[in-house]
Amino acid sequence: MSDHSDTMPHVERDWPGVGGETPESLSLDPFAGGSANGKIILTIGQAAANLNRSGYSWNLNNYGELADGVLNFGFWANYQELANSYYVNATGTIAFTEAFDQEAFSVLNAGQQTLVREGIALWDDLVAISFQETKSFNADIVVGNTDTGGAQAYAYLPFGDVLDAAYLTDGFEEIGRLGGDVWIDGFVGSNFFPLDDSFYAKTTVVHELGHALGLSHPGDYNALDDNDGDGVPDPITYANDAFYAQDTQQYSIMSYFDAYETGAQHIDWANLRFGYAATPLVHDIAAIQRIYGADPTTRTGDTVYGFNSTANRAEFDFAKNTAPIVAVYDAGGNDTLDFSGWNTPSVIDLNGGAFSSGGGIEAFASLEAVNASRAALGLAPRSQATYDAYTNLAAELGLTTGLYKDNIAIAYGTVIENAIGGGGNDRLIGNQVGNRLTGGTGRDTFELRNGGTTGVDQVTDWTRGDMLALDKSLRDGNGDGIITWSGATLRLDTGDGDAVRLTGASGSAGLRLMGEVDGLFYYADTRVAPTAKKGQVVHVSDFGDDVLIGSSSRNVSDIFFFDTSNPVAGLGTDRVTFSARDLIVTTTALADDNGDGIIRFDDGTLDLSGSGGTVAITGTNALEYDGMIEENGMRYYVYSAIRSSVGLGSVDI
Amino acid sequence: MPVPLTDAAITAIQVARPAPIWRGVATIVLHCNDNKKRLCAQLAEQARRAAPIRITTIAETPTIATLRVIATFGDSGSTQSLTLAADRPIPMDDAQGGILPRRFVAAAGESTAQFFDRALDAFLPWRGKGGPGRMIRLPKGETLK
Repeated sequence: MSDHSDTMPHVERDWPGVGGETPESLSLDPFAGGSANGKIILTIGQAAANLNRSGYSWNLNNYGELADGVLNFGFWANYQELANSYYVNATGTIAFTEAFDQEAFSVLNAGQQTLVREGIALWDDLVAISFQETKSFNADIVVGNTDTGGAQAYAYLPFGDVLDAAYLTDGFEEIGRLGGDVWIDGFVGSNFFPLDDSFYAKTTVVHELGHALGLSHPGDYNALDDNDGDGVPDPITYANDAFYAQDTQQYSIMSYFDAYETGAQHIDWANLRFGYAATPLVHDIAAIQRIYGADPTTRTGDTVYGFNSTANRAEFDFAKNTAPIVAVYDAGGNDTLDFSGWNTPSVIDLNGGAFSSGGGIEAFASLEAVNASRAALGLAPRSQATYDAYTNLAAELGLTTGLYKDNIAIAYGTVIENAIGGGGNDRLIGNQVGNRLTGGTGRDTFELRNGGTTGVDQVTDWTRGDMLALDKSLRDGNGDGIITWSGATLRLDTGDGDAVRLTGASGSAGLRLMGEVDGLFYYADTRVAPTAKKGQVVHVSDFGDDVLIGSSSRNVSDIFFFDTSNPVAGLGTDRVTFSARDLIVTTTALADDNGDGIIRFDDGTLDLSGSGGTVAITGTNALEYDGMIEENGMRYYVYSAIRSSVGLGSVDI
Repeated sequence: MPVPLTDAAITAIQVARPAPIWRGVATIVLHCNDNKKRLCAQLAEQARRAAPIRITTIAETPTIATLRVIATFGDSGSTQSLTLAADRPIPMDDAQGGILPRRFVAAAGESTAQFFDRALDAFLPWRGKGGPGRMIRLPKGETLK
């Protein structure tokens, strides 16, 4: 579904953290007017306007080429065409270098031409104008290979007839015909291989076509700039040259700067390579639609992006584009973002302008594994020296995993209704319409922004290990932290009808408030904790610092439960009074250094494993491991005092 | 010789994307495939003129900032040729790729020094006389059409 009331994108989501602490993985856009990395954060409108600050477009002064709403593109068929084109003046005595240097000219090969067609199709999807392939001499955008003088490629903005008079004296009658032409360096190998999505050849073509349509780089830097006059192009850095914070390849394919400058992770650690966008990105989409209008006909049916894709674009098919860096634009229908093919933790954020994270590897791979993976892609093996350099890079960037981060975005104005997670502990974030959220296996978190409008949502596969995250806490009449409900849906507020149906949850058992983290209130299924049998009391640790006091009665056995495998947060600094008839149950195994089944904590403080936390225990300084129970897809580790009469059989899940 | 014409208007309108093959290069190691030490030394010497980065012909342990340039000299009868290619011996990015072998042939009457300069002008970006948006006036009497 699409919401395009005008061509200017707008932000209308409710962002947690605005006005307070900024969660780690958020777009900078909603924080416009503030600063990040010492640079101003532009609004999306400002960023879009900036990308077309030249004012050049096919709408203006371009010999009426867009009068029929169609732009033509093509490929130089041979050198003779070029030598008889607008690259040479009427008398043939002055030529632009592309035409002068015949030895450097070459026709795009079939693979390159396919890339250009794919790139054109991606831009065509976004805008109200259309594109049509034609012969080069009839084309508005013509593409060829040449010697770029040290660049990967370059293009001419569609500057139109504004210079015609100036060039007429040299015999060029319509110099503006150069506008829109794209030149690829024919001697740089990475323009020819690999030609796959999210590699440099593809991103180069999409980038250059962005220029051909009127987009500039986000800043006034240029690959061939030599401002210090030393004869070599100047190093261009984010720190020195980006004038606004979002000028990175996380936001725009037109940027020179790596996505990691704004916190994204686009290095493909499985193959030790840098990943590059396969499509125009969120700021590019806003910018191009500002110029030409949004295409209201793009994928108006019910479309699946990601795995099981029905988008009919390989870029959005994650079985093909396996390390995707893309932004999704969709004009209508009931649509789905499907991450089901990944077993690593994913974040799916359905909000327009937001970034999702999927793919990559959790643990860094060995050189042998990297080279096996590269061989499968047809890539040359990495040497030990390159492997070591990447190891140093990971340390420099402070990375502990090779998971992709902020690599999949949804365009402003695009509404994706549904999300499907994979096998990891995923976080699925709803938007303002009714969402259908499927977490898949793993312990998933479903985040709904009921502080604003989140609609009536459905979680299709709620399990006991899952969590609900809300930016406004639920009404808790008796203040016990347990939220119960009757009927099919849980009401999330009393104002605008926000609600959620948790298929698989029990309204009578309810949800337990675990605490507030980064402006979000987290609710766990009460059934994740052990059930109290007769003569037992179950105490549940939450995200805060809890004092859990066991019963003094000899007839009562206390079970202290620590959900250490929860996917959200540590369990604080707790205190427990413990007796020989009590049990401690965790969802990850406690550290047992010598493997003797006895957990010792001579200083009286037990370190919890998993999500973290500590417990100061009075009554014992050692626990005996009684065994593990696997139930409802979770593991429960049971500990009691050494040689106590209680144990595994005392715990009912 | 053709005359390059400066035109700021057009060069301001073209927009280039950087080539990662040149990103962060601190040293060029020139490797000559043939046992033509004199030609190799001459090529290196000409390449070093006004070069903003170090150029050596002595093999050394490469780093991620090393670019390896491979020169192959050839003769076709009385015509001299030179093929230049480059790669990063410790690549960090498949985008770096390499510079594909580019063959230059000496023109009639062109000295070796002139020939090498012409090849280096085309190969080394800081010597580039080509590139986008530049008009070149052809020698008197010649036309392209």
